[in-house]
Amino acid sequence: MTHEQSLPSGRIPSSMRLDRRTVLRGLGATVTLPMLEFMKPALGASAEAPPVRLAWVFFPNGTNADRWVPKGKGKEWELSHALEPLAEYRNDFNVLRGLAQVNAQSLGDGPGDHARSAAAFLTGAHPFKTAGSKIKAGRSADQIAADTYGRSTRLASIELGTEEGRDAGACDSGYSCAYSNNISWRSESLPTGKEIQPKSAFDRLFGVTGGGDPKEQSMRVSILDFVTDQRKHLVSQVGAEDNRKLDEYFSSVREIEQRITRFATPVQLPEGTQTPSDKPSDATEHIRLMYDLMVLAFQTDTTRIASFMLANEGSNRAFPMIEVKDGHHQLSHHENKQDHIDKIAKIDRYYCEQFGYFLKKLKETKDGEGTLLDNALVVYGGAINDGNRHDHHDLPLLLAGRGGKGLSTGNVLEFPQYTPLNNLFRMMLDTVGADRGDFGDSNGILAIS
Amino acid sequence: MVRCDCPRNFSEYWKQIARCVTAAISFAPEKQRREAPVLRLGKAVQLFFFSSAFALGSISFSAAQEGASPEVDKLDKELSELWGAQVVPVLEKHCGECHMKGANEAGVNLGDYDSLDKIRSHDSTWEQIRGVIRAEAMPPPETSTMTADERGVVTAWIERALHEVDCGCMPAPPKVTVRRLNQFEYDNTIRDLFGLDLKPSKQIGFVSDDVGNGFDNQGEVLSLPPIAMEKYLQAASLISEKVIATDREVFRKQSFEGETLGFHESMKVPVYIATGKYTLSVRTRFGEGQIDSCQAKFYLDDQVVSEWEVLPKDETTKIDFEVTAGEHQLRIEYSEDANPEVRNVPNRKLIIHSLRLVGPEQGEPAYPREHERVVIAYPDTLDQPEGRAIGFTEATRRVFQAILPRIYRRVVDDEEVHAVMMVCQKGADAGFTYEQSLRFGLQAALVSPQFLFRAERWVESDKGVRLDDYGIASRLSYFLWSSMPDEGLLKLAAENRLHEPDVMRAEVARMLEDPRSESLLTGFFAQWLGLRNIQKIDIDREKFPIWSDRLRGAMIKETELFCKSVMRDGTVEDFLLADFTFVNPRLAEFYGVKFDGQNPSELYRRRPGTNDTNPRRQGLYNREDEWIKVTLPENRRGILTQAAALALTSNPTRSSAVKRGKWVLETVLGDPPPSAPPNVPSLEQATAAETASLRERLEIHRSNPSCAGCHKIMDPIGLGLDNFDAIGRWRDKEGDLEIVAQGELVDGTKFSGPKELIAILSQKTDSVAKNFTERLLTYALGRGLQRADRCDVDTILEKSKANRYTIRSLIEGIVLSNAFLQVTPNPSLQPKQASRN
Repeated sequence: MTHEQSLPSGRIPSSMRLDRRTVLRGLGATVTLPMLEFMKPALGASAEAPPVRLAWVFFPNGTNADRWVPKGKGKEWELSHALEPLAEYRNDFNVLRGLAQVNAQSLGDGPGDHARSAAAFLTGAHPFKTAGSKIKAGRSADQIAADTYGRSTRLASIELGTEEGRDAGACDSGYSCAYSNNISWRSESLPTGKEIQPKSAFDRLFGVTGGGDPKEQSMRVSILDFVTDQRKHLVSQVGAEDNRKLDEYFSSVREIEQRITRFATPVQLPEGTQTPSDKPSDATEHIRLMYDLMVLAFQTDTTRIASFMLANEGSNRAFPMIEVKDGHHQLSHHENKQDHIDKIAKIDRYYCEQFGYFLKKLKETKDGEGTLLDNALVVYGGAINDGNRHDHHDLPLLLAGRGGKGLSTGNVLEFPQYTPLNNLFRMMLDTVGADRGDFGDSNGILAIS
Repeated sequence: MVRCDCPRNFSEYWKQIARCVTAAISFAPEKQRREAPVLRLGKAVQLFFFSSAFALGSISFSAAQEGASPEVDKLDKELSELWGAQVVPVLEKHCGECHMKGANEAGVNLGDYDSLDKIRSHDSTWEQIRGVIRAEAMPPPETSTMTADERGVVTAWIERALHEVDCGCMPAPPKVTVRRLNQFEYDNTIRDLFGLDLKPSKQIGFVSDDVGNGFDNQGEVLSLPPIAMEKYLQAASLISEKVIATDREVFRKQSFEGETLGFHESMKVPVYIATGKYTLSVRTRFGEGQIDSCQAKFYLDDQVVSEWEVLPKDETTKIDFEVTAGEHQLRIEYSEDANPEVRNVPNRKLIIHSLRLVGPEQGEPAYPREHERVVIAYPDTLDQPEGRAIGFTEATRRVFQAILPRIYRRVVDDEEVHAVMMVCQKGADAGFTYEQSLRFGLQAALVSPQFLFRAERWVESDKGVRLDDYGIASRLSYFLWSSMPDEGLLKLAAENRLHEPDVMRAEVARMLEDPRSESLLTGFFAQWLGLRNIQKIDIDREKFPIWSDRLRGAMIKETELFCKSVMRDGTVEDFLLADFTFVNPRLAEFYGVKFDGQNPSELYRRRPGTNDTNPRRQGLYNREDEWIKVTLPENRRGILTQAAALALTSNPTRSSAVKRGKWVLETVLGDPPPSAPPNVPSLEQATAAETASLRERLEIHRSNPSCAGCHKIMDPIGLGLDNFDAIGRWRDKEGDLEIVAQGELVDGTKFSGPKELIAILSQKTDSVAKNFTERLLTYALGRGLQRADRCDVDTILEKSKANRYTIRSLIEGIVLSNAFLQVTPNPSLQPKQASRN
C-alpha cells in the first residue's frame, strides 16, 4: 500500500505538531487514497466508475431571503450576499427555486413550524403533533437510499450534527424534541439519531474499536445471537406498544449483525491520520471537522450517504466569531428590525462559508478520473424560507456536484412554485437506483439535465 | 398484539374485550327530540343524528377508550348535551366565518370535529383554541363581539372535555411503554452494579436521548436506532474490560495521580490489596519558589506510618509497610509547616506529583474490588465438600447466577443463566481464557434487552392486576435514584412485600435520605425548571463583564441546592416564598449578601496590581467551593428571583419580560399562554428606538390587537420582575431609565415590585402544587399524562394538601397511586352503574 504522501506520525516536537484539524484537512487535500481491495464495492456500481455519493446538509431557522436568493436565472445570475463565499464554486452547484415542503405547514396543527420543518425536510411527511407518545414522521430520503444503495459499504449511511438533542422542556409548541433534532428517519417512528462528537463519529466510521481478529469477530456474532434469542423471554410479557420498541431493538441488532459479518475488516486509513480528540473549541472547528469526516468517509468509500444538521431546528446558538451575540432563533424573528436582519444575513453567509469549505474539500479530492464533487449530489438547505414568516415554500436550496453523470451546474433553476422538494430527492434516489416510485408528497422526478 | 390466552395478562384480555365493544352514541341538539342512548355490542357502530339547524350540531361518542366502561358515562352524555345546546351556537356565530364549512383559516376547521374522541385526540389544537378565546386573541379583537359569558361557556366546556374524567368508572391507568434506560440511568446503573463510576455514555459518546413531554426518560421517545445499539455494544465491551481483570500480575504495580495540598489538607487513596509487604513511592515537591520546607505524614487507615520533610525540589520518598488483605486507605497529609506564620500563602503547597504502590513482595496481588465482586468462582475453585475443582461450566454458572438477577433487576430462571453461560462456553471453545470468556458473557448480559429495557411484569391481586414487586422496585429506584434497585429493594421484592403501602412509605423515606436521590435534581428539577438550557445561553460578556462559566455553574448549583433542600424538608409554597437560598462567595457578591460574615468581594483573588474596581470575575474566589445557606435580601423570594431562573429567561443582551412571564405561567403555574400564531405578523411599529424602555416597547407590542390578548397575560408578570437584569442582578435603572415594576395582572390585581407580585402568585399554591405533581408524575411514569390520570392527580393532591403540600407527601402520593403501581381494576369489581364524583 502506498500513498502519494503520508503524514508523519510518532513523536514530533510540539512546535511542529499539526493540530487534528490540520491533519484531517490535509488528508482531503493532499492524499489520494488508492482504492483498496476490500473497499471495492461488493454490489452495485462497477469498479471502474466511482460510486455516486449523496449528502444532505441542513441549516435551521430559514434565511433572510432578500440577501440569500441570487438575482437572475439560468446561467445569468449574480451571487447574493449570503452566497458570495461560494464564488469560487459557482459553477459547481445549482440554485434551486420554487421547491416546497408543504407538509411542514401547520395543516391545522397550529404552531410548531420549527419542529415540523426539520421532521419534514427529508421525509416530506407531516409529523404527528405529539409531545411524547406515538411519534411519527416518515422515512427519510437518505434512509431509503441506505436500504439498498447503502448495503455495499461498511456503513449504510452516516448522520452528523453539532448540537446535542438534550433540551429541557418542550422543543417547539407541543412537539417532542425528536422532531426538531432529527432530519434522518430510519422508520416513520424512529429517528436515526446523529453523532455530535467528531471523535465518536470518527471511531464509528473507521472502526478503531474492535479490530479484525477473527476470534473476537466470532464472539461478537455469538453475543448478537444471544440477544436475538432474548426475544422469546420478552414476547409473552409485553403489549403492542412495547413490541414496537422491541422491534426497534431487534432490527438494530440484525443490521449490526449483517454489517459485521460482511465488513469485518476495519478501514485502512492513511498513516498519520489522527483521531480527533475531545470536543472542538468552537462552532467553526466543529462544523469543519464534521465536513472533513464526510469527505474522508466518501473518499474511503466507508459510506456513500451522509446527512449533517449544522444545528438543530430552532437553534438559538450565538455566533461570537462573526460578532453576532444574539441567538439565531431569536434573531430570525426579526420583526423587521434592521440590525436583526443584518445579523441574520451574517449568519446565512457564515454557514455558506463553511459549506464552501466542504465543496473545496470535495473538489480537491480525486475520485476515479475526476473528483469527489463530480461524483456527488449534495443538497444544502432547510425547510423554512424566511425565519420571520415560517413559510415552507420557495425554500433556500443548493444542489452541488454532478452526480457522476455530468449534471449541468452553475445555474439558477426556477421550478413552478410548490414543486415538492421530494421530487428532487427522487431524482437523487433515481441516480443511485433507489427510487421506489413514490415518496411522501412527490409527484414526479425533478428534471435537471 | 393483545394476548388473551395468558392468565397473567388478564388486564390485556379485558382491554381487548373493551376494544371489541365499541358503542357509539350521538345526541342531537336540543331542537331534536332526545333519543335514548343506543348501545350496540360487537361490531362498532356509529350513529349520526344530523341536525338541520347546525352544520356542526352532531357529535358522536365512543367509549372505545382502553379500560373504560363500554357504557357511555354520564359525563360524556352531559358534555354532548352542552355541546349542542351551548357551545355550537357560540362557535357558529363567532368563528364560523373563518373556521367552518369551506373556510379553514390557519388550518383549523371546527366542522371536522364530529366526535368527542376526535376533539380529545386533537387536544393540543383544542387547548390552543381554548387559550386564544380565553386570552381574547380570537376571534380577531378588532371586530369581535364575543361576550365574556360566551367565552366562559366555550372555554369551560373545552376544559371539561379535555380534562374531566368520571373517576367513578375506575378507569385503568394508561400503560407505560417499555422504557429503555436513558444515558443518565445507564451510567448510574453501571455505577451501582459494579461500584465503578465509569460514565460509559460519556466515554463512548452515546447518541443523545430525545426529550418528550419535557423529560428525557419517556418510553415512547427513547428510541433505539442501530447507532445506539452500536454504542451499547462498545460500552459493554468497555465495562467488561474495566470490571473483569485478566492478568492478576499487573496489579503488583499501581500508580495514582497526585494532588496539590494546602496546609492540613490530605490526599486519600482507597486501595484493595492482598496481604503482604508493600513499598509506596511518593514523588513530591514543596511549593513554587519556596526556600524552606514542610512536613508530610503518611497514614495507613489513620495510623501514622511515616513522616518526612518535603523540600522545594522534586524528590521521591519510599515508604515500606505491611498489611493484611482487604480495603485500606492510604493518606498523605501536609502536616506541619516550617514557618507556620506564612503557611496560608498561596504558593506554599505540598505538591504530590504521583504515587506508586508496589507489592505484595510475595504471593499473588489482589484483584480489584470490582473484579472480586463479580468473579466469585474460578474453574479451579474447590467444590465443597468433595474438594474437587468445579470446572469451567460450574464456575460460569456461579458467577452469573449471582450477578444476573442484579443485571436484570429481578429473579432469573435457569434457562436465562444458561444462555449467558453458553456465550462464555463459546469463548472458551474459541480459545479464550476463563476471565476473557466471562467478559463476553458479561457483555451479552449488558446488551440484552432485559438490561437495556425496563420490561415489566404483572400479577393479579385482590384489587385487580398490578405491577409485580420487582417492577415496583425498579419504578421506585429509577424514579428516585435514576438507577437500579439496591439490595434492600430487591430483597423486599423477593419477599413480595414491597407493594404494601407501609413498606413503600418506609422505602421512600429511606431512598430520599440516600445521596442517590440527588439524581432528582439533575433528572427532574433541572428539566422541569429548564436549568439544562442555562448551559446553552450566550450572555454578552462585554455588557456583563461579571458573567463567566463559573457564575453560570454557580447559578445552576444554587438552584439545585435549593431544590434539594425543598425536596427533603420543604413544601410547594417554598418554591415561591422561601426567604433563603444557598450561595458560594461568588453568588454572595452577586446577591449582595455577606458570606459567612465576610464581604465576599474581599474573597475574590485579584491578581496583584489589577484594578480593585474591575468588575470582571473570571478568576477564583477563596472558598469558591463552599456553599452556605443564607437569608435572601428583602427584594428576593423563592425560585422566581433566583439568578438561574432570571438568566434563563433573558436574551443574551437584555432581560425579556415576555420570556419571564411565559416561564412563570408555564413552568410554575402550569397554565401556559397560547403559542404564538404560526406566522407571526411583523410589527411595523416595532422598530421603536432602541433607547425606549422595555415597558415602552411592550406597550407598542400590546397596542396591536392581535398580540395584545396573550401579551396582557404574560407581560405584566415579566415586568414585575424587571428589577432584575439579564443575568439576574438587582437594578433600579436600566441605562438612564427608572425601572417601574408595577403592573396589573389580567384578573385586575395590582402590584408594585417583585415581592408583591410573588405574594399574589403565592395565593395560587393549589395551581403550583397541581402543576408540580403533574410534572413529577410524568417524570415518574415515563409517559405523558392522559385524561384518566386526572383521578390519580386529584387523589395525590387531596392527601398532600393536608400536609401543606410537602414535597415528600407528593412523592409518597405518586408512588402509591394506581398509575404508578399500574393497577388495572378487576372488571368484575367495576360498579355496574357508574356514578360521577
